[in-house]
Amino acid sequence: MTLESSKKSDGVTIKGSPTGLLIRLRDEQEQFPFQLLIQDLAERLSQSDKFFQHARTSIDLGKREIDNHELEQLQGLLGLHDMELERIISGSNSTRSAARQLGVEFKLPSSQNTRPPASTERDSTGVPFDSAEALFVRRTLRSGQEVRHHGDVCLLGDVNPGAKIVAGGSIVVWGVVRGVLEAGALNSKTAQSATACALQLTPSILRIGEVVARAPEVAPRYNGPEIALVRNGAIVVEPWSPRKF
Amino acid sequence: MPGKVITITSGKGGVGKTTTTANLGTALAALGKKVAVVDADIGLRNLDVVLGLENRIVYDLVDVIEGRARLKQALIRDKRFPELSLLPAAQTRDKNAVNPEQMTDLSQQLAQDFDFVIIDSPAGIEQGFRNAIAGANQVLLVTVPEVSAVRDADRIIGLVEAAELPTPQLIINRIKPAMVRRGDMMSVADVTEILAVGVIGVVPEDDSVVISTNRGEAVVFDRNARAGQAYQNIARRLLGENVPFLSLEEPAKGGWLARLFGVERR
Repeated sequence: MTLESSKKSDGVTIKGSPTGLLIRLRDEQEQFPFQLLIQDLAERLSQSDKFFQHARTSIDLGKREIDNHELEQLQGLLGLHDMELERIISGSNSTRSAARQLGVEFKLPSSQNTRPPASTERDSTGVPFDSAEALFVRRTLRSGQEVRHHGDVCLLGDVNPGAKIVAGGSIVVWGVVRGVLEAGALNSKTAQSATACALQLTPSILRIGEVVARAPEVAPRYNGPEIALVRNGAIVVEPWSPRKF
Repeated sequence: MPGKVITITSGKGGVGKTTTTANLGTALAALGKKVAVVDADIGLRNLDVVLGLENRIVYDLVDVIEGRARLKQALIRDKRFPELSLLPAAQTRDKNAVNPEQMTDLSQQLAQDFDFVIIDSPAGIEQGFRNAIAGANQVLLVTVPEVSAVRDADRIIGLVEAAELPTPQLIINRIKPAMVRRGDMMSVADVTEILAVGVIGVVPEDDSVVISTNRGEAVVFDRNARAGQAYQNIARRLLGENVPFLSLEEPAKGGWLARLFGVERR
């Protein structure tokens, strides 16, 4: 078994450093198709199970081109093992653009500096700095589109039915929400203090941390700006006034 | 200067893409433009039927792409308007017989000879849809005032924008003004509130569409058909004219039935 797994994992190297974990995925598509590498990585991670927990991880993808979906797969896989994808290192334009869309930090490969950066600063609440980073999106999310970001998300536009925002932090929508909102998601440490607000907050599903609320069958009368937050383990929605925020 | 390539699409099936393609093609040809309508619904062709040209098909789009026929051989000239030509779809193949690059080449080739190339997209968001939008300069999105169709239209707008094409313009088809007035049907404003894109036409529900479709004639011929009038207006807007939208009030026929319904209006 050892022999087989070491043979299969040729395309995946995992290196530790004092500041985080570096996973390198070989970029020769012919020899190492992406799905094969994902399988290998999944196997490696589950073998070492808790060992990598909460590790802040960089993934070096070389010149490989991956799309949003594949990058989400990587994110999801790491999430499964309680690891956080801190950044990707990529020599491919399209991969970096996928990262930008998903709110994943990215950098160009450089021969000397492929190690994860030494950013271990934390603020007073013990939250890593980068989860406080907000993503600003200036468009309407349409059915089938999704924004996923580890920090706060601010969207100028509508979230239409069938669209989704998943944020580690809070969500602010300057527009109408009719789709799905998940605040305090992605194993965020700030899950319970996350909020979601919108000029018209009528999501089909609203999730804050572990608490889920479904849209009421009858449309509520009030349709001014509202804010949703978790109080005593339940989602509460209140009119959104600047004083409360 | 090459002509304009316009794709008619919807996401949901049965909302009137083919009818719209046939009528806009005919209306533009009647206004003196050289128009090619292309059926991109490979395997489920019916633009030829709606135009009444079914019996004249010798070669089709796949024959052209696979080099069995020249483009000029496959194009079928319309019965009434020599300015209008149809490139029919293949019926014995499926959507995978063609790829987006080939469609782009084909539409560019057509745009050399025609002022307008109008592509009738299949329903769905798969290969056939991607083929149909590949070479487009402009996308017209047909929807009906129903929640499910509007939801699909929203998805299409997202996909068209992701393909880095201009934002689609909306044609709201089969609207029933009386139902809208009673609050039983989504209004134009309800639809645009969600989709937030420009409207290029509103076509009222009209029985003459069914009649003319079955006869293989375009409804724009029918001077009395309101749907035909609406399609003509869209064609003129495509030419850059500023045409006011049809009033959606039903013409007063003066019958007792109309008066009866008139009482109900609020």
